[in-house]
Amino acid sequence: MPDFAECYGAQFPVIARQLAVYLGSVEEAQEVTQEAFTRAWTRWGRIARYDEPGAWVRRVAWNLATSRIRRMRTALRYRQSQRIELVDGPGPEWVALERALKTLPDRQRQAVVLYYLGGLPVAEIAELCRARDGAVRNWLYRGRIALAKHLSEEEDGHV
Amino acid sequence: MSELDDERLRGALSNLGDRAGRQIRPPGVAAATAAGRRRRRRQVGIAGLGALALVLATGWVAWGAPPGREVAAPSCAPAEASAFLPINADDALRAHVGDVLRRSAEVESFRFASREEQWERFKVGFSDAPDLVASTRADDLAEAWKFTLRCASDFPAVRERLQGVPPVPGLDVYCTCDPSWHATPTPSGGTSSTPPR
Repeated sequence: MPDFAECYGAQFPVIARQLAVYLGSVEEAQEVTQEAFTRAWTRWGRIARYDEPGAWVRRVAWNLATSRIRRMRTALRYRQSQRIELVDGPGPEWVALERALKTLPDRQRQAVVLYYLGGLPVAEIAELCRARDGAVRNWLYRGRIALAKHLSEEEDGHV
Repeated sequence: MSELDDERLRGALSNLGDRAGRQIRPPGVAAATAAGRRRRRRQVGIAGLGALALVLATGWVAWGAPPGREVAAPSCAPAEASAFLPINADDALRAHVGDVLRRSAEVESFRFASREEQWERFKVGFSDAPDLVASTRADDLAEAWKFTLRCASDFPAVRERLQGVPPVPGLDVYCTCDPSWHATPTPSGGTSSTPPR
């Protein structure tokens, strides 16, 4: 049976990193990830028997993040004011990407982050989002087109 | 970065993630377990109170209830739910959602929560996050219809009715009683495959 501390140590940075890009806030990502682990701890006896306890925590953390965005409807304004503060001076490409990510609808951004940053296969993202594989592929396709469009506009100085 | 292929996007996101990752400071296992213990104690306390109430109620029914007065057995648990309107909702949509709730026999009571009310709740709920409150305006928050269901199990039917045919875009209906709103892990560590709504 895997140890809770082991799972925490291995999974916290991975989940929080993905959520920081999704939410646009390191602090928010940490809070949500910590809450997911707190919930996991209260039922660890059961979760530890799963093949991948970390997948349970990831699922809960993403649900919490999405729930927070949906409920409060402040995502856009919040992300605008709570951007990831880049420690050593952001390069223009990162700033452009971060700005372009903000323009994506939540589902597309979630799919893009999980697929390209999290390295999850489409089927797993579909399960996490409770959607069909085709829907996830569609989000990825549209997300990539939208990102390309925004990034090229930024590069051309249109935005 | 005008051309966006998979590898470039993966690399750029990875860089963004790495930069965020360097700022991540996990609060620690001890903090998670301490919060979990507090929560568990609270749950045990609530469950204990519930059990005590049940015992007292049962005793009252068995020995103390006035003759001839029927006491209904609790066959379901009530639940609170909310229907958040789209940000640009007009009077017609507000009235429509209210009408649907009024016509729904499963709904015990309902009321409209204005943007101002939501804002007041938001400020209280996020009093520990002053930056978030400062960067939010009442206009950012959605108006909502709050309603109480007689039985939590009726939520899917009411949600479906509210979201309607044709569907109302941007109308989000939530209930803490909704199992799909919480993670429903399976022994594989994955999740149950609830169809998308």
